[in-house]
Amino acid sequence: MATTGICNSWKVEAMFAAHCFGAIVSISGTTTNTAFTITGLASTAGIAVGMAATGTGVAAGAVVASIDSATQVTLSKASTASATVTVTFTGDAFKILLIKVGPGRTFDNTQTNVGTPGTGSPTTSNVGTDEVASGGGYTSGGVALVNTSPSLPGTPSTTATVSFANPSWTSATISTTAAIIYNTASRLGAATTAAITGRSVSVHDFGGTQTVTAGTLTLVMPTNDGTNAIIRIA
Amino acid sequence: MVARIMVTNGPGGHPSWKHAEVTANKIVQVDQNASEEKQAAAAKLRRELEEALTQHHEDVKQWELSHIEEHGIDRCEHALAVENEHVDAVMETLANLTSGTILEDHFSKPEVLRIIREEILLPEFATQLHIHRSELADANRGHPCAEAYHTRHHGEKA
Repeated sequence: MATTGICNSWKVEAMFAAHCFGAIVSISGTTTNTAFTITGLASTAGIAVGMAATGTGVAAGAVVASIDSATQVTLSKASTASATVTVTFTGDAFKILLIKVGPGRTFDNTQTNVGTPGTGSPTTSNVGTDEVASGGGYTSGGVALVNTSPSLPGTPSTTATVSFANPSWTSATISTTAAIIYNTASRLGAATTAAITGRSVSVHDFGGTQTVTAGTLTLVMPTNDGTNAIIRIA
Repeated sequence: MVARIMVTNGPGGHPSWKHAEVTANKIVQVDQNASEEKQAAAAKLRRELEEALTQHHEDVKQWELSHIEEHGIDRCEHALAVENEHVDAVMETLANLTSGTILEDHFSKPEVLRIIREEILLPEFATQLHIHRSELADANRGHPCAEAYHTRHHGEKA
């Protein structure tokens, strides 16, 4: 069982800029060996501080440290080669996991973290064994979501939205009752541990058991507009 | 933020009529406080559009399956790009169905048309492409293209 809602913790974390829903930006840029800057970008629109940067000659694990101008960004790590290449900037990687039939607890907007899906006792910080078990076309942790960049759809525009492509499980034999969207990125510090990952975004009840046998289960996201989008800030 | 579930047992993805029902319901939404005349017109349009969309979704399905047949597992390496002609065809159908009706003004607004095109048709058609490629990858487990596809779109498959 679950109650659909945006997680309370996410609302706070959104104000900490702890979740980046920016969609992928791939653009030509020039790297310089041992330099931290990427120059010659046609635009920095859609790029935000903290987004991951990848590309030939871009150091592994580099993220955007600053936006310097309309044509230049500075990364957290120095480039390893000099060249003009396609640089890809990506926001956080969000996933969606499924909750099994007859879970031990009722998931709702008090969920803070998915913890270690598939392992441990279910709590507000760990989905644990309440996740659908791996197998039959389902993998613990769920599937990756492809997000659209935040926008203000509609005229006049007063509600910011973000959405995702419809996730599907194919060749699947699954029974499920709910889903949780979560962020796999490590953007939040913690008092006693390293950065926290797996922060919950929202919980979605399916209104009952949904069962698919050797077939396809698709979660249809609502239209990305100011009235229906899966995540909205009015 | 209500997400809807589509479930279809057996291989081949969802039938086109199921996609059509989802798409029609997304396109034709009417305020509960709208006049009875508008409610009735919306209900009629939803039925007609759903019927027409079944063929449009079938066209997308057959288009993707023909490319899978042509390219085999390499199709998983292609971009999940919806053909403009498929979207344009629906927009034309919608214009024809709403022409001369009480709903024509609404479905002539640029912002409404943008949302239908970019936020409804493109993602719903892309969902079809993804499902068929995902099934292709399922049937070719172990192949580098299949594994890469699952890693990109599903995470590791169990």
